[in-house]
Amino acid sequence: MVDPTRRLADQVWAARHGVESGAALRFASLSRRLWDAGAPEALVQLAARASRDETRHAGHCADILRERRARVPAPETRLLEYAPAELSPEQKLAYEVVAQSCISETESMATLVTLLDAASDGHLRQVLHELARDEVHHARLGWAYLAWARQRMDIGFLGAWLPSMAAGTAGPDLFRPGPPEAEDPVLLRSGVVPHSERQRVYLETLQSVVIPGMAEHGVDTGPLREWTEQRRGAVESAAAVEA
Amino acid sequence: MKIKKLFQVLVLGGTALGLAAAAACGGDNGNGSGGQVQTLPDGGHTGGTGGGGGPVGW
Repeated sequence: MVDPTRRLADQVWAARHGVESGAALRFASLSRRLWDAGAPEALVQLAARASRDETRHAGHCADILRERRARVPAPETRLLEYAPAELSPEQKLAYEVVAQSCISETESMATLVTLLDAASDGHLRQVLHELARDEVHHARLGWAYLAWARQRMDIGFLGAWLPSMAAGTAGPDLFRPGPPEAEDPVLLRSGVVPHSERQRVYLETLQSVVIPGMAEHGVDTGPLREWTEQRRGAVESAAAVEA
Repeated sequence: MKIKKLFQVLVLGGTALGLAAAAACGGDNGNGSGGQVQTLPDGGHTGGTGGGGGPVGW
């Protein structure tokens, strides 16, 4: 019988393989679209480099799965886009950059920081360190883009969409109760943050990085603050019931 | 690194980068199509909902 904690860690690394291969496609697309939009060369190149990084990261995830004797899934081949159809082309580009870099990559950095603090295995630590080094640039792209874009367009529309972006990056399961093995602290040694700690890290990152970052760029953070507080309340209520 | 420090590293670091990049090229790469053109990577095809949401993270 397969240890459920081990199986869960395998599933997480398999999902990360898809996240990284999908991000490679998205950053390649964003690089082209940034160029088309007249963005500074430095931002265009940053997105192109991020695409190459993500392909390499997917390879690291595959290596880790093989080391764990787990199946390596097929890479993501779809270019997933999330911007609502009613937005203008330049708003759609802003939506995709912010969803990818300001939300998803910023949250990924927080996860990596948490994992690096706990990692003891040599190869895993080396991979996490490399990923964290690269993800800094992937997240910075979004904040750099906002600094440029706000001089050319009204980015205020983003405020209403931030909760939707945050919910998408969290995924469908983060704020639902997890199985018992999802709380096993042994997961940290496999490069996986236990469920309740992941909830805490996610909300803290929204609170202390994303929300003040959006405010710094003049975007209304009221909807995202409300979404964050609702999730925090639900998490605390669930914890109180378990206690 | 503490999570709170990410504000300085990512948000302030990225913002400074964007301002410097914009200043270096006069605010525009000269391509000038104003974001109206959208292209897909070779061999790629679109998916997702197109109705909000965002990419799942780590």
